[in-house]
Amino acid sequence: MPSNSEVPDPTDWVGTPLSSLSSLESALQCHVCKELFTTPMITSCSHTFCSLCIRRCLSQDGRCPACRSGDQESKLRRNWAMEECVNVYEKQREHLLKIARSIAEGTKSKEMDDRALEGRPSKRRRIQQPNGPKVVSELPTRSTRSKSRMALQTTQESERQPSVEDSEDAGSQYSDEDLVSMTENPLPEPADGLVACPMCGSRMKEEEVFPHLDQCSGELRSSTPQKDSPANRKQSTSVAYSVQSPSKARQRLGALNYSLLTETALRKKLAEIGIPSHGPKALMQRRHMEWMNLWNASCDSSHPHTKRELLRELEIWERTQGRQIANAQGPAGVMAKDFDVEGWTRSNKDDFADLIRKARKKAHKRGPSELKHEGSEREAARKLDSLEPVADPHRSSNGVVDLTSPAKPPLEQQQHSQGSQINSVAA
Amino acid sequence: MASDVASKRLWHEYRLLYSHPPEGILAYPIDEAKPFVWEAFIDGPKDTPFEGGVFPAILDFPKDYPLSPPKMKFLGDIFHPNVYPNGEVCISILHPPGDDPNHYESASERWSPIQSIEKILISVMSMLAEPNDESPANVEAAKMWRDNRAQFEDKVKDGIWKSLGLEVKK
Repeated sequence: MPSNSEVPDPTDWVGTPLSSLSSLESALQCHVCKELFTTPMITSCSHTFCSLCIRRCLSQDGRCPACRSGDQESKLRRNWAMEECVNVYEKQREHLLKIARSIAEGTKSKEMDDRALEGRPSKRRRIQQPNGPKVVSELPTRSTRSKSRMALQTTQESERQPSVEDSEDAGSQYSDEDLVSMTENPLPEPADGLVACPMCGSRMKEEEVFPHLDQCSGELRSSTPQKDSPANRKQSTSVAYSVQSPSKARQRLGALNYSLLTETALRKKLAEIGIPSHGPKALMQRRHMEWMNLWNASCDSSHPHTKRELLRELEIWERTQGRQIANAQGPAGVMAKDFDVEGWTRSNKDDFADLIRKARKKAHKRGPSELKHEGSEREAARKLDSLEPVADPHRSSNGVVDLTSPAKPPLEQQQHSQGSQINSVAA
Repeated sequence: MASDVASKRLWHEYRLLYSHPPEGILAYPIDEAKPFVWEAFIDGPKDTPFEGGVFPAILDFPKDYPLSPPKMKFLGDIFHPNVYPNGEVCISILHPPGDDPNHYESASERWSPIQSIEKILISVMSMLAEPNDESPANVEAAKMWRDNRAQFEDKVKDGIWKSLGLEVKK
């Protein structure tokens, strides 16, 4: 059994009396991530997806996932109406689910009671009567009704009338008490043994109701939700038609033409944006794409993420997908897709073994000279280190100070400055 | 639970398949902590030589699911024109729209992020019932299916009996 119930899912409604809400929730879901729409965007073919989902799809193959017609990210438009539906639904969901589940449990336990009642009729009925007055058949209800009427005549008739009416209806029209609570009182009554005043809705002991009614002004108390008060209505003005201030909108990132950029130029670009710039070109390309999607989706959102949050999301991507791309790099970059690496290795095993043997022999022969060679390499590295301060001013003059990326080997930094020169020439 | 997109989506699909399992199909992650490897069981469709068989398979999901499709591999021996002898399933819904190695599939039949595990398994089930001999993965099976249907059916049935651990009846 899928045990994680924290993630909201349409199947939560299955088995409750509101199971039809399952299809409503499915309709409010993005078909790519199977979650409620986050920042829904509509494509030029009129399909709606989460901003991030559709951006990822389009950056992969430039087609709408639903109808496969070609589309571009720049043609995506906000679907405010859908966003509002989702927001409203999301707010009510937990509450509705609680009600639906409590009803489901109620009917289940009642069914069990009924079954037990059939089994051992006499004993069960005796237990049932004192604590379940509403469930009993019509006859006792009538007797209570007449009683309440007598009581009514002795006290203030006019004021109490409506509330009595209510309870009568509950007894006679609906045999199912759950239905009553559904239709008339969507909020479950707190089980505090108190009674709500029919005028103002404040809760008090039953015997206090009549004296209270004499002075009750009829104003609704704050404990009950004031759904239609003008103040509230103002608060919930629709997102769809409220004015969005374009001034605070962040600049969206434009796509790069990766094939025109050299590896070093791309590396510099990533550093400029402030995202990790390590790894081979293919990885950087994918990372930039993902960052662009995350960033632009956040620009679409009415509650944009901070850059730090986005960087964290990029880190998750790096851990799951980025690593895979980095690993897949080696042979896949050079060889054809269906190249049989294992078969090739097997058939040429002897040649490889021969080459290895020869190489080892050579290495043995010039054993002592190798040490010297290593020493000269170190010397070269020291020379490069001394070059570093020369490379740095160049970078700061460009206005790019890279604080996020880890210290790079000096050789790479040289390449950096070269790359920037190439760039400026291209520009 | 991991917070990445793929695991979340797989989780939702698991919930749906658990509460509304399609007829003759069972699928679930082998280990709930590792949502990227699933086990599936497909019943042989009725009125086909595969009837009565239950075919276990492994579904292997890429980390960028649902942008890329999973790979599906039958675990037992299954003699079918569209199943490679090593068990790998060759069906258009499992091919990404970008590359079409066989140049015969229309893009609409191929993988898209809005497809789902359920749709894959249903497609595979109907593939069992109606082999596609245009691009056979198992040439021998495709030839036999086209030229000698009775022999093909016998061979399939033998395989099913064997997989159930029963004597092959002659």
